[in-house]
Amino acid sequence: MSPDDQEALDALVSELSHTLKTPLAAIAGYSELLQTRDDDAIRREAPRRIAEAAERLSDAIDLVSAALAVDYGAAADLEPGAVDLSGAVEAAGRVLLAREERRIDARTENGAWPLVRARPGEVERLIGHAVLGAARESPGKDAVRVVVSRVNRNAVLRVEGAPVSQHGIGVLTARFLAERQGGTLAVDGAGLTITLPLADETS
Amino acid sequence: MPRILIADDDAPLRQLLRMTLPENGFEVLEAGDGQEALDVIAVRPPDLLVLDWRMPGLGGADVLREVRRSHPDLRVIVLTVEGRPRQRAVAESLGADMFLTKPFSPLELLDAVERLLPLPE
Repeated sequence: MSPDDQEALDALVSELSHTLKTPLAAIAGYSELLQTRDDDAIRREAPRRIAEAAERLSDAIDLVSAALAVDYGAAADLEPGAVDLSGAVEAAGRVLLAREERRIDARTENGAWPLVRARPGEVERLIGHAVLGAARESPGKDAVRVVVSRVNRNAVLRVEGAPVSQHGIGVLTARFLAERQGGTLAVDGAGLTITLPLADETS
Repeated sequence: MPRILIADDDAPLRQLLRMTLPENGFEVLEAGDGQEALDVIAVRPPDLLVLDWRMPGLGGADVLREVRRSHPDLRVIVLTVEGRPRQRAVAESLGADMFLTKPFSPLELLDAVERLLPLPE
């Protein structure tokens, strides 16, 4: 990613975070003041401010949800093709480095890196969400370990690390992307496993 | 009486910060954007600036850069939404004294103010 692209992405992420966290700060702050201060002005003002902030936060979440639907819906008609999994892992690694200052430690178990059948750009995002989630569940480790293998007609990516919640937005998004390619994503106590159809096995 | 300027484009958050500070302890001024903050500082220089990093128009970085040129001794608390090293590194390089990451506790704000300005007894 070019420095200009990185800067634009950083600005987008910051703006999104600001939109969501500012009303959240008001909710958390007024709630704490209500609990810790014996003050008539706070008792009068805080409930209204909390309600206003909650409404703004709800509106912001609706906008983010709509943006997500547009983002993924726009790519629905793209035709799947052969995607080099090593390139996709490398691209995800750049995102992990930029966001979390961690790297991916990737290896294959049986031979060369496979080609998978997928929509352009979506495998990179799938792996990006998966490793980002694993990185956040494993603080203190400087690398997320990814092991790639071929099993029957699929490529299998094992993202190793601490238990990953099934319900996190990253896991949900990654599962959505995996299933869009005709693959699967499963979470267990030690990490998650992604299967994707091999490009050279489809007719 | 010490003077604090709160610069944040979110009116409810400005009100929260104002209510957090001890009554009769500080003169509290508000600004809804970066340019307004600079205008206030030029006319009524505060002792402490609580500065939101992301504001429309002139953002926190622009305000901090100008403030460090015109009022180098002004103490500045930057309000950010991320604990990412890059954003904090930029703010530190521009001369921010302390950081609070939203959502922060009012007690965190009081602690930060107390570190930079002695609170009245």
